[in-house]
Amino acid sequence: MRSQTLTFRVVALTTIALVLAVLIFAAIQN
Amino acid sequence: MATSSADATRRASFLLLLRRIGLFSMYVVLASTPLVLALIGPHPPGRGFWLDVSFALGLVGLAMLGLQFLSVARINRVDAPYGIDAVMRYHRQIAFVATAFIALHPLVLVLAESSYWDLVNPLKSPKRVQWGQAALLMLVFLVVVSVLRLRWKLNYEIWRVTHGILALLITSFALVHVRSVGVYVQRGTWKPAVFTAFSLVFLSLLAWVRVLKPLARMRRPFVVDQVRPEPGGVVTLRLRATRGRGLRFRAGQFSWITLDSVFVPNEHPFSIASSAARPEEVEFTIKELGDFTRQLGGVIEGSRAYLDGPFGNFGVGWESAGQLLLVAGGIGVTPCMSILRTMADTSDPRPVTLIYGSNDWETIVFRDELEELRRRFDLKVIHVLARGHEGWDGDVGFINLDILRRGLPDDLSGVQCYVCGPPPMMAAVEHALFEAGVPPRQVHSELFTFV
Repeated sequence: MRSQTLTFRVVALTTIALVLAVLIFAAIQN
Repeated sequence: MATSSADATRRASFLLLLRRIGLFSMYVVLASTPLVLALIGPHPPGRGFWLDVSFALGLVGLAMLGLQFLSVARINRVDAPYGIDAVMRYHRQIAFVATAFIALHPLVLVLAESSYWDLVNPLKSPKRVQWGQAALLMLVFLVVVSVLRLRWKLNYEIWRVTHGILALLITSFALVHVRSVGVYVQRGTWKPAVFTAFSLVFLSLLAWVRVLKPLARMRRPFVVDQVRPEPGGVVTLRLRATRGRGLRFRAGQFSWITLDSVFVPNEHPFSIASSAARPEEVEFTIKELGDFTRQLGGVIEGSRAYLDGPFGNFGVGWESAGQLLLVAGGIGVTPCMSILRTMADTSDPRPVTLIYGSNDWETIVFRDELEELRRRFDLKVIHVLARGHEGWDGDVGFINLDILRRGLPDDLSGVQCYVCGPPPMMAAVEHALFEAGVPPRQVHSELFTFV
């Protein structure tokens, strides 16, 4: 896989994972 | 031989995938640590879903800022699964996500609870809010300057020093903001101490990169032994270790070079062009592209030099490949030269093809040496010139599928392909190799400019 594509995918996955973490945190707290 | 090397490649790719997943998970866990810390032990009750989303965005954004120090700390063990060029690109791209999280934190706050509008004006807001506002302003400034620095032709060294100082200020201001607001880092509990400890770990990474690593480098000095002009505005620097065993590296890797002192910001990464079998004598062949590379031609023999390296994954697996195809464009030939010189020095019996794109016959770097190497081992060189000349019966134009096919064996299972050159050339070559049927895990590339 091209290195640029790989980085872009990892950035996208990180963003999704962290948005989920934020939402789960707010859901647990409320 | 082809099958066993194909098996080895499959195993290596699987292990690499696991290490990549591991590093990705570590990032997500570390970035979410403030949220976990907020939830364990004593913590206030929820303040409403969106208010808590806002707090969480701020906390995760801050952790991501801390992790930015880790992604530029050049720790080989951390960077290896992706390659340092990909980690640097990640540093730049994830910065936008971190900035978005941090900018969304106040935005969601005022949208969720209208009373927070009173805190928006920085002239009237309490100090604990002002720390955060100042951090956000500086962060936006830092991102804008970093994105536009090439267009604005900002001096690299000045930008780099400013970037480091601003990054330190932003993180510190944001930490003071989080601690003084104290919603999830309540005073009187163990949480502020844990928070401070985490912050110190990340900030100490800066001290590691800027102070401790340079000090360690001083114990491994090199001297510029030879400055050799090459065709096409290219210069080769040969560095000789004056103490220790030199730089042990794998062919295809690169290193950061600093001249004169370890503490100057004038530090740049370059591919190592010399043989890995000679760690005491390291050569870099550099094209004059920017401020620093223009100065290199004027470097005086006998000057001191320091190396931070080796780094990079470009040459991964070449030692176990059944057959090699190297594809280079212009000065991107340097890591390929390192592989070829190492093979010549170690009397490697494997067949190699180098497909090498240059502007014209006169500007082919290492042209004579490649001729000489061809006589020493099983090397085939296909020159591709952008501009041919009278009497030139070789290939003209760009490196394409037909030319690549001439360098590929019938059985593709044991071949490993290495591509290095300008980004458009690499994209075209990689695409053509996939079209020729080479599995993606057997195609390796390294973006040549990533700073």
